[in-house]
Amino acid sequence: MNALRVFRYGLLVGARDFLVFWTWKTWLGGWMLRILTSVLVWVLVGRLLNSPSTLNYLLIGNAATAGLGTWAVAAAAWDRYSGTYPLLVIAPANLAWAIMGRMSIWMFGWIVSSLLTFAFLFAIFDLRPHWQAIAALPAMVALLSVSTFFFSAFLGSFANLVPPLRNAIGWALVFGLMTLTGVTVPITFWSTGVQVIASLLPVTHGLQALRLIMSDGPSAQIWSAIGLELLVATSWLILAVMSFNRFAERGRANGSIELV
Amino acid sequence: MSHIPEAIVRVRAPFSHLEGRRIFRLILATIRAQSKLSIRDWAVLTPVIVMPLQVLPAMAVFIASNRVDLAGYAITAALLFSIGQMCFSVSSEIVSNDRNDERLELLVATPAPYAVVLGARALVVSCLGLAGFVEAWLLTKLVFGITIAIHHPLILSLALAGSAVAGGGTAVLTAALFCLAKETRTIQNAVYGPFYLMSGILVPITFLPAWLQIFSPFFFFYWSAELVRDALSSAPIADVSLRISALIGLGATAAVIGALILTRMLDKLRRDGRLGLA
Repeated sequence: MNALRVFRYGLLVGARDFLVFWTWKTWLGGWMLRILTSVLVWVLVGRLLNSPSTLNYLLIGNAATAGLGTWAVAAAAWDRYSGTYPLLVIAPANLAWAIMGRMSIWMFGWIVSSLLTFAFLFAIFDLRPHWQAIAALPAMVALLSVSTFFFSAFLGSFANLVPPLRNAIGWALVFGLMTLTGVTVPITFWSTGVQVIASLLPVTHGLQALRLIMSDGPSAQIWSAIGLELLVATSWLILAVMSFNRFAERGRANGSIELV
Repeated sequence: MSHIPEAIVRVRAPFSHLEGRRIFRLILATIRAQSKLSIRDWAVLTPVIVMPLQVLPAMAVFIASNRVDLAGYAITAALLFSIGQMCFSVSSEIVSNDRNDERLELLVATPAPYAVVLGARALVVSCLGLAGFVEAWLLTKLVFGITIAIHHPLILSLALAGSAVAGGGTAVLTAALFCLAKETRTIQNAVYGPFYLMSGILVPITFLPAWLQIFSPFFFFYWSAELVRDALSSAPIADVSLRISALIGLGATAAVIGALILTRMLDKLRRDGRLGLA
């Protein structure tokens, strides 16, 4: 219970972070314009290749991951810059929940970005998915966002260790997911070794489930993909909590907590 | 006392007392200083390193669709994603950063015109973005084993140099606009996407709706993208000088407008005595 309370306070700090960057108007006008146009840049590749199936593949992949992975890794390192990191380390509560709470506000942004992108693309490409797909969409997008968030938290612990690299790690996450997890090409495109890595990453299984739902695939496959995505998400959550604490302990041991 | 009128003249006409050679020396000194700063600054190096990674998903789609002939499109996009990030994210924050770090007052107090200093710094940052081309080329070679041939090396060099100049020029304008506006982040984010889409940096603009294509020639990336793609393909290229002129012309126009806005804004802040306060 205490973990939830700490997480909630972290989330409140995160909400303040969010408001420093955005109001709902600037978020809709600035951020969403960026997301929608970037997604279109990729979806138009389907037109360039003159292949409706590629267009459809890119549309679902890019809309499901629109905005996914942005800001959160950087937010993990902000306690370093605000000088609150040492206080979190000496507090009796687990610092992982506090930092993850602060990061998590951006996850809600991913969910809304993705759902708005789907709505926009369905409208301009005149697509009419069946109602089960539409009903499942919010839950699937939330699943992808949550598992990506747990993976971001794991990466965020490294951003905490080397704060100047926070944005590089964040971008590598975004482009890594875009390349490897079946957003632009099926993971079978890659060699077996890369496919193993992809299957350990968030998004891979969940996006596969979403694609099956959209194409009315067999429900057994859908549920097993969802199960795998949940398994991947939980594993990254455990690793993230361990990793945050390990680095905090390391900082305590070698006296580098106050040094950014 | 006799110095005071001269000082007033300086405020009104910042360029009048500097002849060309001194401006040139100022530009060189600024370029040197910015290069030294950039090499140690992760905020500058991060976009150069990560943006070209986008060549990977683009190449993957083309290879999966048996269209390796479009490899040039992927590398062009990766290059322009890097230059774009350098211009709109790094350079555009130069003025706001100078302001936040309380460096702007010192720079404005020197006899060197701030707009020239800004332009030279933006040019350095923009040139660093060119490394995106090399990185994207190497990634394509290492990951996919595909060597992208450069059929028109001279035109490619001109296109790259022109893009860097135009990127620096455009950044002067965006930097001036971003520090004028209250909602910096909004404008900054709202600029990237439409700029990329309208310029056809990954997919040529012929795949956009016709009514949108009319606006594309006003974006310098449109000219960069077309020139770089053509330089990588074996077909002969037409109207090279005209197209490079359009590219540099757009950058120069943006730089001049940006410099005018910036000079007027700084003059007003100085006249009102609010430079350090705003």
